[in-house]
Amino acid sequence: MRGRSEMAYEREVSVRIFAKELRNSKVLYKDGDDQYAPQYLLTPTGAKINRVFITGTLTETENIGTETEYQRGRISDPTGVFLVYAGQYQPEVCRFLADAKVPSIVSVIGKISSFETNDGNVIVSIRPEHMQYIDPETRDMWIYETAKQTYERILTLETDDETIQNVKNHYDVNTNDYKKMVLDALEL
Amino acid sequence: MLKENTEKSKKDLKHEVIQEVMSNYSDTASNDFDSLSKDLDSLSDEIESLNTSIKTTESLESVLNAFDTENKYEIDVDVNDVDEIAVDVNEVDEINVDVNDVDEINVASNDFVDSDPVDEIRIQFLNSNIEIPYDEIKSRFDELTETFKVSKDEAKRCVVNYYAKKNNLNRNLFHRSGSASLKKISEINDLSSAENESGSGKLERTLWANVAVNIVRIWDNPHETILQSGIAGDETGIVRFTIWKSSDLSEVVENKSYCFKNVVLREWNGRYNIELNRASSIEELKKPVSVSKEDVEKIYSVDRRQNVQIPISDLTGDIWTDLKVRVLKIWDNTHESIKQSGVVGDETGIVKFTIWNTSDAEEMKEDECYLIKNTIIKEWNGKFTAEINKTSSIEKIDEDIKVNFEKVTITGASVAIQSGSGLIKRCPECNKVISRGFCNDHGKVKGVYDLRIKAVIDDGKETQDVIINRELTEKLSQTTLDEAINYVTETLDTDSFVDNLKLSFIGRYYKITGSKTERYIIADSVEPESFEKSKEKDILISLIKDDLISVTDAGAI
Repeated sequence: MRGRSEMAYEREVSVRIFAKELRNSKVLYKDGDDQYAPQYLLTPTGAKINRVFITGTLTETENIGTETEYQRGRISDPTGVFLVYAGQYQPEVCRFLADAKVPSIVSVIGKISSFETNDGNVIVSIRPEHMQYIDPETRDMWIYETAKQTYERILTLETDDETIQNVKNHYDVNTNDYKKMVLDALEL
Repeated sequence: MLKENTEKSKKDLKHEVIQEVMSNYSDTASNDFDSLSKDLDSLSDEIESLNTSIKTTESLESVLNAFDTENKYEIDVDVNDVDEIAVDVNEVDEINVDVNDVDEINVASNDFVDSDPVDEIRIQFLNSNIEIPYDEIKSRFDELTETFKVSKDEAKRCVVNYYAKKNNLNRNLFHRSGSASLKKISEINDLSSAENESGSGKLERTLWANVAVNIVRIWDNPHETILQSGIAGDETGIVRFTIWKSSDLSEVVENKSYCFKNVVLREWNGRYNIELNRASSIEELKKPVSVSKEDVEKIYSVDRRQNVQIPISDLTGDIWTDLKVRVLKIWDNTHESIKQSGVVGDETGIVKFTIWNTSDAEEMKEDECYLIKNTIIKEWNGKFTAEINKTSSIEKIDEDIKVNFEKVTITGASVAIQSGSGLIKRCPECNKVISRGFCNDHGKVKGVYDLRIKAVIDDGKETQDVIINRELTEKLSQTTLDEAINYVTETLDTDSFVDNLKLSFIGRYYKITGSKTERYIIADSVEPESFEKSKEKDILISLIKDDLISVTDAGAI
């Protein structure tokens, strides 16, 4: 019974994902033909992501812009590195990165951004909407939460569920590798 | 056996021939024997093609051969028959009756074996004095079923419509003559259970029937394509019926008896209902059809039932109940069949309501309390609406019902602060948030400052909008309302206040308890979620370890 205007907007969930899995994600797709249809990244464990929530240690920032400011930040979690890029269209985050302490623990809410290289590789990065300092406790909660949700996805992948057929078509996943990744993240 | 077959076919053939001749001559009433014999020549061709159809019975080639010679003989005999008919006009009626019998036999056989649909079509048109060669119908029919993969029923329909149009006949005339037979309601209801038992799913053939029924109940009708719907019954049971508006039939009246002819039996939710469409007809019966008392009682008990009052938080779909409520909000009316709609609440929660135009109930007023009797709870997308219809009633009561919203607790990361957060101004009249000094309802007003956060909480699976009031916002931002006003008026910068709020609030975990409304949770408490998960973490670690070990073991074996 909700009106169209209400139905039209439904906020994309912030998926919890470790850096290693994000880096291994290669499959981009759109829901529908509409040019404004949101783009999703299908990950090896079957997450369908448009937005992410991540935490980690900001290890390096660099202004890589030539004319205008364009900040790149490296954020490290127990499994690997996230790359975040912020320019003039993300002024708050750009300013944050410009003045950021390194190393420091941060959390990021952002949209997935990706480009395909000439040799067909998909490079995935994050375009941050929000970035802020957090305490180590929050990061530990995030690791636990991300471990739990990733493990749930892996277990689904081991079933014959129809919904993950698409994942199996695109990735040849050794689920044990990802289980080990989750375990390592938890035990670190 | 062989002889029997031949005898039967002989009889059939004779029928056909007589019929042919009748159709050709009853109109013109010509007794010209010259043209008659010409026609007989073409009839023998017709008989040839009939032989083909006889093939579909179980006769062998030898039988057919025997036939050929017999046929010749038959034609000779038929000339005499024709002669007789021409002379005796009275017999015309008799033959027509016979033709109907043939049709009935065909109809009866439908239920048991796959009768030849092509022949059915041919005979249907023959009844309207239109002769169409069997092969022509067959090729048209086969093209549809074989080349276009159309179901047999649909193909038959198409072919019938094609020839009906070609001959300027009302096609409903043909569909009307479907295999309708008089059925008792219990037979219709038995269809449902028989099908459920066999588990064979839907019957492919559309089922037609005639029923003699008494109208027990006519329902309020909210749908524009329906003329009437309700419950009809006979002495064996009751059944739902629907008369489509497109049927052009006139309305039926409660407690009167009718014969519904050519109704469609349609399966819905495992039960058969009867539907009256353009092909159907209604005749009022002088002799009333009785409906068993038990069945009537069953229907009326729904109306008279003493409902228990259910608290709003315990509502589920498709139940009848009484509600004691306070009206929170009346919405602008958007639909002509709705008298009033809005939101009501009680101590346990809130729910939408709709009063249909068919209800005699008085309209309700905002902030008054009422006892709503016998409302039906409908579920839509997981949300409930209390519908007040003809059988419901509304009484104003003097009790003071205090409305509480359903309390919920959620945990997740705060991922956004929406616009309309921070320092805001409210209308002094209605307390709504104003923008640029203007209230939507009260025009230019001197706004009153307030603090709030409209936050989005996200647990990785779904998002939830949360409204955080001034008191909690002051606590979270460690800034009082006065400090916020001072800050903003001094720096003339409302954005940076919200920016600071974002930096201190977003990207962290919270546990929020509050009242659930349609879209928001109105927070009563917002606590940083502290990490007490070390035990859960250990459980998860050992779970994954066991998982990995069992895989390695399996690999080793």
